Amino acid sequence: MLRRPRDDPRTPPPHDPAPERAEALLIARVAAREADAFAQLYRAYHPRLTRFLERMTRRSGLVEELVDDTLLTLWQSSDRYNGLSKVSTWVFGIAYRKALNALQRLDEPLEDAAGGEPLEPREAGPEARCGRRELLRQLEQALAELSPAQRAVIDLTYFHGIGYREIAAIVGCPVDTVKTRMFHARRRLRARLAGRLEDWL
Amino acid sequence: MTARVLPLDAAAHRSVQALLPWYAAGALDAAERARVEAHLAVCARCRRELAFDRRLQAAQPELPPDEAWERSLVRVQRRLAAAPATAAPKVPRRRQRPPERGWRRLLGPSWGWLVAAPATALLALGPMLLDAPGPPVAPYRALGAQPVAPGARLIVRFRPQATELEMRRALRLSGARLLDGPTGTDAYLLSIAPGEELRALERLRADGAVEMAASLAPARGRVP
Repeated sequence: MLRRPRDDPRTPPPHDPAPERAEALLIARVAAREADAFAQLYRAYHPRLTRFLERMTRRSGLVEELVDDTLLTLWQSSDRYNGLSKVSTWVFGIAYRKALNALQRLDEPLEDAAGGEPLEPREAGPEARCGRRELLRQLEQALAELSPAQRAVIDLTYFHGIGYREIAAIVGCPVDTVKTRMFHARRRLRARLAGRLEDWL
Repeated sequence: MTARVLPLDAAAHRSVQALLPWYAAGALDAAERARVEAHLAVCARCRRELAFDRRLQAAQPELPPDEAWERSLVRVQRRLAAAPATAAPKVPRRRQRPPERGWRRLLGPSWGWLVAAPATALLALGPMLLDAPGPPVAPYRALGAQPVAPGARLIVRFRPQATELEMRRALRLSGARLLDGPTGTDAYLLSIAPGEELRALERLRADGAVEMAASLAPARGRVP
């Protein structure tokens, strides 16, 4: 089970515990081998895991397999969820470790500020030269310069709305490390995207 | 440190600055939010940083297409069924349930959830319907271990009161051919020509004799 970060033992403050309770119940039903509960969990987490793993690994060829592996693990190990963390912490933690292992097998630097290979180019056309699509392309380029560990923190924060304590539990490191990764990643993004986000909005 | 933050405690500034991404994400507790907001009121630099965080947050990458999860679920099902000795779902010991009460539990009398499930989930779970307990229906029982037989693309279940004549008429009108059945849950496996799948499904579902019809098309044959 995921350990709580040593330097900050406080429980992450949920805004509304009801959805979290519902998810914990869902896991209990999955552990009881209820396939419809698994389908619900699947539907809820597949899109989020796909986006997270795409963002973290930047290797489109890996993502599908990693998402499948993560969800397969959920089915196989649902009885190991002990309810001490949020379900999302547990799920993203599994995905994160699988992604790290996969990147290690590919000899990808995990901590240094080095990006993976670019994702397959997104659809490009005349209309793609400006607007949101262009902004997202620039954002992808800027994120490519970060390490997978930094991208994970960025993605979980900005695009999944997950708190830093929960992120520390997901990635298995102290809270201060999460904040340091965020600090450096954000400084890099600001330098690369200076003025562009403002132009877009 | 700019002149605007000089009057403030530098350590407090740095500590709030570090929290801004999670403030923008709505992921702080009440005490932290209050601390950040008090600081933002007097620190223009942090307000600019927060503006950046909010813009970055607004640049959400797109979610994968909705049907992607179904394809993934079908792949995972097949992996589970293909390696029952190593990948079979683990059942908590305290429940003392045999392993076969995993996915296969669905295939027994408990159909209620399928009625409530969205059609897409039904589609994804379709292969399990074939693996039902009851009379053996070789060779389709080991669906996870073996791909669906060539041409097997649809699964259908008729209403209990449907007559044989009505069933035959429904099949004829759909253009599908009967491959096998009934399974233990009274479902039938149908074959349909490529490209005719959707039309056949529509006809089957519109037919009064049909209770349920779903596609078993492999991922590569479905809408990407």
